[in-house]
Amino acid sequence: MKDPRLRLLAVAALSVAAFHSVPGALFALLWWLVFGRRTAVPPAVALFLGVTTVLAALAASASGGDGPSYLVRCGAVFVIAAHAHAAQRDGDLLDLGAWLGNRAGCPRAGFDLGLVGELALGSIAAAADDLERIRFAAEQKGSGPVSRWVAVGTALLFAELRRSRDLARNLAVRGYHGGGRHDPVFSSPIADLPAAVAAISVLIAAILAPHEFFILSL
Amino acid sequence: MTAIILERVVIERGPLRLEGDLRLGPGLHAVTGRVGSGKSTLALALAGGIRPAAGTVRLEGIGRRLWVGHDPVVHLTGGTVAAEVASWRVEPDSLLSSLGLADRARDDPFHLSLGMQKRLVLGCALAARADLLVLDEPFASLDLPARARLERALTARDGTTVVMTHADRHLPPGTTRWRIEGGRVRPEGP
Repeated sequence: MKDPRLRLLAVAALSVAAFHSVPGALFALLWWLVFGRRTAVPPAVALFLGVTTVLAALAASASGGDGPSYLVRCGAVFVIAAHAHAAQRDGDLLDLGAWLGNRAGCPRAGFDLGLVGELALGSIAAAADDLERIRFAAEQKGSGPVSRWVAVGTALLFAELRRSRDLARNLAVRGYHGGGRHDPVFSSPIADLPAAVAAISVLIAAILAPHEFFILSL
Repeated sequence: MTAIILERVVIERGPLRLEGDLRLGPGLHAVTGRVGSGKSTLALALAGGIRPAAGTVRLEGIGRRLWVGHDPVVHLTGGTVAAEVASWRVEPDSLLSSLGLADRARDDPFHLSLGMQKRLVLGCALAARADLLVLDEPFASLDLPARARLERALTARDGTTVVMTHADRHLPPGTTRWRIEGGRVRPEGP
């Protein structure tokens, strides 16, 4: 999907549908199979998300909750999130925020909202690089697993705070005082309409689906 | 005699692809290249932090490898400056005196300025006596006296030292120079 407005709408609908119920999660996964492009998620991230989901499901089961349902629903949410992340292009959030602000009559607030989104996404990429370097640096010293992860957490937090401060200074030095004006131009949304309509249909189906038809129902 | 030898090595990281056949023997080597050319990626690969997608990395006479990134914060694990030095398996008192940080021994290393953090981490790495030392942009964030001290320390070091840098004017005579261009690491001559 090239139009960020429709992509955001689809991702929001699919995420709500997937977390709402097991049928919704299955419908969302079906949508991903039909419309989602192949998403390249680093193996370490996929492993981390997979293990986290399974552990959370086991914990839910052990505490009397519905572990299998949680596993399917959260798994589907992660798949949709990975698809959204892979489909994201630089400037999408700024375009989206500015468009929303322009439509709502508050262009400066929309610009700020979009800029915050872009900066947040940029910092995620930078944090992933930092994480790799901090982990390797601690490994070189022969730190044990516990102290290694404590070091990773501390250094990562500090590095992100310093990057944010430096970025804020750079913006201020270059005359940014909040808000701006941007009139984004989007490619024709016609090609994205089927995927967007299908995503809304998934949400409606998830809400209306008779849960008893499914083996893994809530 | 120490050397790291890369034979038909291919390193891939996201959209970046680096190829090279190189032998880095004893002494000081400098790798230059434009921003984004892959210097930091090559530094991690030399130190063993990234596994090449193809080719072979051979080590001769190298036991301990150490990498120092351009941001010193990624290396800080000690609760105090003295503990940070000890975490590199280096005796703190004499090193902190030589770095001019003796009076900060009990401070949190995160509370030091960026330049002090850089001096601390580089001092520890140089004192740790690794057979292969890989430094990514070591001259950045250092003042002129500290840069001059680093130049002298790099010249005096045993083993193989590889420096990734933009600031090649700080490199001492006799440095073996390499350049990354078009995804290949090529020799530039001494």
